[in-house]
Amino acid sequence: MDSSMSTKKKTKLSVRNQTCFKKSSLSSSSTAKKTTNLSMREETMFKKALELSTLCDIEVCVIYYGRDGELIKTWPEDQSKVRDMAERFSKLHERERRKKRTNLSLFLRKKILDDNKLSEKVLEMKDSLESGLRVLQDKLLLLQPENQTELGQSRAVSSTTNPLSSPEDHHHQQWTEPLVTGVSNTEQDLSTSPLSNHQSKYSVFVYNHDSGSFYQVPDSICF
Amino acid sequence: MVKGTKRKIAIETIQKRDSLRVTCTKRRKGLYSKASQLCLLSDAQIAILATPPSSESDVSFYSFGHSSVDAVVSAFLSGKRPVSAPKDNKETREDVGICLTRKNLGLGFWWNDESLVRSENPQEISEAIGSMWTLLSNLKELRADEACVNDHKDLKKNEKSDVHGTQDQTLIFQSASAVCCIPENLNDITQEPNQTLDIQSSSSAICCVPDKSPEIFNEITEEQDQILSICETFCVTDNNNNNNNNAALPEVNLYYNQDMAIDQLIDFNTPFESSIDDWFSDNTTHQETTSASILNDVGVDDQVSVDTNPFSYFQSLEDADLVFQRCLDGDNLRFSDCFNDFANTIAAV
Repeated sequence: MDSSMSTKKKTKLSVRNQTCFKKSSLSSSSTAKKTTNLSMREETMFKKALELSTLCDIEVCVIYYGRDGELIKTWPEDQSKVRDMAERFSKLHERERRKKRTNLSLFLRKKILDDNKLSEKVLEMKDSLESGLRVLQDKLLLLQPENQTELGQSRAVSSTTNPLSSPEDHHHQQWTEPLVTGVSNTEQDLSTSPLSNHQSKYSVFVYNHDSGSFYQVPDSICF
Repeated sequence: MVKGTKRKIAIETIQKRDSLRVTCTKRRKGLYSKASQLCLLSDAQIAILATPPSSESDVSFYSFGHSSVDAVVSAFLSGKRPVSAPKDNKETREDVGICLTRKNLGLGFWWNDESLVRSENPQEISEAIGSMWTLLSNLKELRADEACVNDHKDLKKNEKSDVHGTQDQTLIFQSASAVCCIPENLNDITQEPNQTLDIQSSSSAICCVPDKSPEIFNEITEEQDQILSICETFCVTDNNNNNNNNAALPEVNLYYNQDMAIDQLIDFNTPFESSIDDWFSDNTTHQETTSASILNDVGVDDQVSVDTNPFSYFQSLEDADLVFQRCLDGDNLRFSDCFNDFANTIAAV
């Protein structure tokens, strides 16, 4: 137990020393940091591939080329297995291959649509894009006043996107219109009914035996 | 030393079929996510192939690739290097997802790049502006898609509320729920004119049709309650009209009998009778101006038919007691006939 504790302490000290060394030089620190991060990310990816294949009892292979086109690493390490799987994949019909195939662009787009938290970041991106666009347009005007026509064309692009919002407003108007119609019809029905009530009234006369005269009873008393 | 309450699961095959499928889907997405980050950070080209969890699936391979699965796989099989994509590709510039993910990874937006901001090349700036406009339109399109997804969710909620409204309608003798759906309003609008037509027809007709009243009672909304009360008023009016019509017929017979009796009593003209004539003439004039139309018609007909009769004023009398008394005074032999008329009058009333 004591030996393990001392080992952990040594590890922490060594990590701290490396950190101090990296921070001393700015130019080398960025490259070193980037390399370290990339290698760690690579390990994470391969580790996740291992976990996936083990947990779900499926075959997984990863082919990893660097930016200069060099084959950096594959998982599994044994390239014969990777080659076997790649050959099976290439032998499939194009239609079969297209199923469940995704791309960097498609994957990220779907990720944005599914995740609600990213919508705020999309708004921030839009604001930044619009401000940057304004800055560059002003700069271009300063450099070449002759290109105003190009700006006009570019602004025409934005006007075409405006009709996207107008049909929604029209849809809302259609949705609310029947309610108003219903209300007005109800009021009309209510207003007509009292008039017909007056037309059907009748008169009541009472004969007074003492004075021998007839007396008409007022309408308000009857109803 | 324990670090919090989280603990990692054992990395071994999952036995439950459903759990296995769910885990497979989620972890595959996670793997794709890590690969996509690595692609953006290091401009690497990666291909991932995975078999489906069960052999019964109709999918042969789940695959993810950058730049594309086919390119990377074919390069691997042939042993050649894959075609390297340029760093600032136009497609990459105009893709919303890639730009946003680069921002999240700390690489920043490309239009805020220092080299672009300080550039004095008008061609480069105009190209950047074009790309930015395209990116902006793509962004709006993406937000429109996102709005569609949200609207779809809202529609599901509305469907649930509509079902609730329908249940309220099926219940008997309960008022309609406060929730107003357009179909309900449309039904009400179409029904109300029919009700008004029924009321108008009932007012014009002498008697109400008894079958209609149960239908009216079944409807219980507030507006319908008001209409119902109005219809009840019409029913009462019709009943009174019926009573008036029934009462008018015996009176006509009574007038004819009075004419016969008065003709026979001409010989017994006395001062008392003449004073009574003067008194009744005033009342008769007053009555004609104010009495109902049916009674007026009866009076006018009698006057025309017996124009030469000096006792025409007695025709409009409604007081049976006076008639009875006069018959007794005049002629005892006619008592039985007068009594019958009197009995008919009482029965009619």
